[in-house]
Amino acid sequence: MSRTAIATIATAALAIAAAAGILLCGSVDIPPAEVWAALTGGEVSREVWRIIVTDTRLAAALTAALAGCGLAVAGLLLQTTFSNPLAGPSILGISTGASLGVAVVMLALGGAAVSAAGQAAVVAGALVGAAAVMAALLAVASVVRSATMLLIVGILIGYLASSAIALLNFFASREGVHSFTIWGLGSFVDVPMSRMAVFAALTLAATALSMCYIKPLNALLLGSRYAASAGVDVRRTRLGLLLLSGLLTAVVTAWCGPIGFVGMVVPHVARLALHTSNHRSLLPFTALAGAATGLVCQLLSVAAGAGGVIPVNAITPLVGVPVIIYIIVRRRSIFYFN
Amino acid sequence: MKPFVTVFALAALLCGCGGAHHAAPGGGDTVTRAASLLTIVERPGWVEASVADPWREGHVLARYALVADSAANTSVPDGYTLVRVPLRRSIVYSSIHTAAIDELGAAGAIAAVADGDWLSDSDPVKARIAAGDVADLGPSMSPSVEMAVGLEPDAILLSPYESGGRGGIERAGAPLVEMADYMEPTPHGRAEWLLLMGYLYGVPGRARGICDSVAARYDSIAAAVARSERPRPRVLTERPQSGVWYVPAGGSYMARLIADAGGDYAWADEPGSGSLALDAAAVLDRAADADYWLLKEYGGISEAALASAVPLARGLNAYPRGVRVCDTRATGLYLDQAFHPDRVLSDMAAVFAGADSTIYFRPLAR
Repeated sequence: MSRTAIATIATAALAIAAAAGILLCGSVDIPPAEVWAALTGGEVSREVWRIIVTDTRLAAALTAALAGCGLAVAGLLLQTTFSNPLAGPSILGISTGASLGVAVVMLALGGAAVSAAGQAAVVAGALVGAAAVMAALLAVASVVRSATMLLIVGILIGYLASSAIALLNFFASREGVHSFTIWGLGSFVDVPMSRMAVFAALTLAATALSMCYIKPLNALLLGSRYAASAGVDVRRTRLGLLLLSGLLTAVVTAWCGPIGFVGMVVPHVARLALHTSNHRSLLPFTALAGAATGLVCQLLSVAAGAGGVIPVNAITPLVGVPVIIYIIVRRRSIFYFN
Repeated sequence: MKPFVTVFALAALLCGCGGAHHAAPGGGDTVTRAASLLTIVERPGWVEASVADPWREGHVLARYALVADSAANTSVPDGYTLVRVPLRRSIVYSSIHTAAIDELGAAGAIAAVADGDWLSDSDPVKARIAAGDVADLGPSMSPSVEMAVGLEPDAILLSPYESGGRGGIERAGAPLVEMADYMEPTPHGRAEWLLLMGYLYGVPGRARGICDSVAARYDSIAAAVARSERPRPRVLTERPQSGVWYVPAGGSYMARLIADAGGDYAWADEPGSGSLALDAAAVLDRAADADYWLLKEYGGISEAALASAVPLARGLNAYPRGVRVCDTRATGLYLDQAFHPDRVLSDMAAVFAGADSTIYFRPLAR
């Protein structure tokens, strides 16, 4: 059996095990038989258990898988586009732009928008903020040829957005700052089942579309000049990849808050596991590994929460940092870019 | 002669206080009864006010020696902060305290506030800021120290926080009065902090009168509720933010208020006076059968917005007919909760008795 097959089966098993753990574990002790009954539409002893299993645990598991998948794919696309192993969804400022949109809703509007429109206001604010940053990036990308310069512009836009957030925080009420801080810690439990179809459709559609870029991505591994000589429209490809990674980042950040490390780390884990940078196998495996990572992080945040939930952004660095350090130490043995 | 007259005048002023006093060690009368974090002792020639540290049991956050400003230089014991009273130019951070000072008739002694942008439009201080009578130091976490110094205040009244972070206001050179009333776990205890403001602004008698009438009314309502044979409805409060549902613990202010109003608070058995950080599933598991769900929302909240913000609401028996929302922008809940808990108790008791036409907590808007 090939290395790819073994890694795929192992990762899928990990994802299924983590998902099962999320469904079975939580602050409320629900017998496994009742969990199964709730999932399959059977009779449960307490109707509230059905709601807990389907509306919180199942929703959290689906969100974690989709968000992890989306962020990991976005990270891989960006790392290849910019030939930078440290590139990730947060580096271009898109997640910061989404955070700025949320900050406007929660802080500048005094929470009135949230009271009036509920969670929809937060999601809308995040999407608008991310879209604004993406639009700026795409505009710059159509003018700037160098990937490095584009990356720098993205980082600078991120700094601008962070500055605006800091100002909003400074003039906000304590309650607003607290709410925004809680949102910024990240969470996989905020996507209700009624919105799961939309979240899943956007994430999976963008992930599926990214598969169309496997050939150009492989060409870009050898450099933009080689890719151009191989017939790849580098500028158009870069625009498409930016759009896809931006969309994935915007959607995940809008619903889950800014989730750190997953997008940067998972592509490296995938390369380590497959011993290849060929996107034909790397891209789908990264999507799977991202889903598994999201599920594991959610399971850890619940299991370690002792009745509550530890924020996701407190868990992801624990997973991500050792991987990054390992990569820095062992980078000679990892297949990267030309 | 002058010191004797001053001491006599101060003694006469202090004798205007009603209520039972009890002897304090070292001489003097302890005038506080219910507050657990505040102790006020009338000593010969001065008033001692001690604020306990809410985060470290057995420690004292601050000790003050309140001395009439007409008195000759008075040496105060080590560890005490001298505060000349009555205050004539004070900086008051919290709108809850400015409202209380206004009720005491001493609003003219407020020279500046913080977080002026967050005052409600109906707050009289806001009009005085606009008129230029009261200065706004800006954000309380980072106030304009320069402006504060320029005002030459007698004292600065502000709320202490465990993490500190005063933004350098100590450099203003005025005594900082730690108003830890918000950490009091009981309604009576918190209301009694009005006494401290009474002593600071030279109207202790008026403050004691208000405290006593609030306490009497509160006790009367609570007693009537206790005598009632109505079953206690189960009560849930707050809503989740990003997956975390902060509910008051069993020993908290809100829990006591609910119990006195005739409610059966879902976490009454949980020890502690702070908040419990729970996930939505845990809240649903314990309080799915709650009859009432009390919410405090700035600007109110509609049924659709609540359903969007809390998808699990459909699993709560209290949703939507048992939901009662207090619009904290339109009502004076936070102001009254501090020093007029009797009003909030009365409203809450009416809610639990099934009334809809209440002042603070109103049925969910469609």
